[in-house]
Amino acid sequence: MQRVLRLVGWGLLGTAGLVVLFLFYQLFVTDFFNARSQARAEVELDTSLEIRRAELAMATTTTTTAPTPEEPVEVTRAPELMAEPTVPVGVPFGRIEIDKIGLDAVLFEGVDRDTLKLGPGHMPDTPLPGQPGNAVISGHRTTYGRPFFDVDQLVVGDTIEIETALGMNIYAIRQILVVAPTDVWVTDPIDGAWLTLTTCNPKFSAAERLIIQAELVHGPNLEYVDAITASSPKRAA
Amino acid sequence: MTKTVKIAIWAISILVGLVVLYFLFEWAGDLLDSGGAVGY
Repeated sequence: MQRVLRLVGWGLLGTAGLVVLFLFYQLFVTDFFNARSQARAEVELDTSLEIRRAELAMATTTTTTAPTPEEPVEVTRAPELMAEPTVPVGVPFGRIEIDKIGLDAVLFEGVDRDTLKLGPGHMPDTPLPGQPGNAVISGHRTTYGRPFFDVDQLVVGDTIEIETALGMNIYAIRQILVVAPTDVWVTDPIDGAWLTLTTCNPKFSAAERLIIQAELVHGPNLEYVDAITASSPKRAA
Repeated sequence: MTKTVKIAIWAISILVGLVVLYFLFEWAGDLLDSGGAVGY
C-alpha cells in the first residue's frame, strides 16, 4: 500500500513538473522563437517590399498621350483603386505599428497556427490592409512574442498604422468587442475600408476573442474608398 | 562501461528528452491556443 502511494505521489509530482515546464515553455521559450522569426522577417520584408513595389510600379505603368496645345482638355478623373496582389501564406508583407502599446511587428500572410507563431497574420480570404473591405489580422495575446498583449488598453479613436507595398495606411479605432471564438461574422465584408484585429481574451485564456475594428483614415486608397462609399446606399455601422 | 560512455548516454538521453518535450509542448500549445484567430 505504501509503495502504491509513493508511486502515485511521484506520478503527481512528475505531472506537476511537466505542467510547470509547459507553462514556462509557452510563456517564455516561445517568445525566444518569435523574436528569432521576427528578426529574420525584418530582413526578408525589406526585399519582399522592394520586389512588390517594383511589380506594382510595372503594373501601373500606362502609355499616355499628351494633349495637343491647340486642344486644351480638362479632365476630372475619378479616383482609381490601387490594387495590391495577394501574398503567399507564410510570407512577410508589411508592418503593423501601434505606438500607444509599443507594438511594432512584421505582418505575415495567413492565420494558421504555424504562421501566427511567426507574428501577427492576415486572414487570406479578406482584403489586404489598405484595400476596400474588411482586412482581418490575428495575433497571439500571451505567447509567441505576445504582439497583442496590451490591445485591451486601446480605446475608440486610437490609431493603428499598417505599412504595405502600397504605402502607409492609418486606421482609427471605431469599436471594440468581445465575442466567442466561433463568431466569424466579425470577418464579414464591410462597406469602406476597415481593419479588424482579433486576439484571445481575457489574457492567458482562449475562451473569447477581443475584436478591434478600425476605419481607414489615411492611405493610398482613401480617396477611392470615400468615393465608392459615398455612392453606395449601404453604409458601415 | 567507461565514464565517457556514461556521459554520452546521459547527454543523448537529455537531448532526446528535450526533443520529445518540444514536440509535446508544441502539440499541447496548438490544442489550447489558436493564436487569436476566429473560427479556428
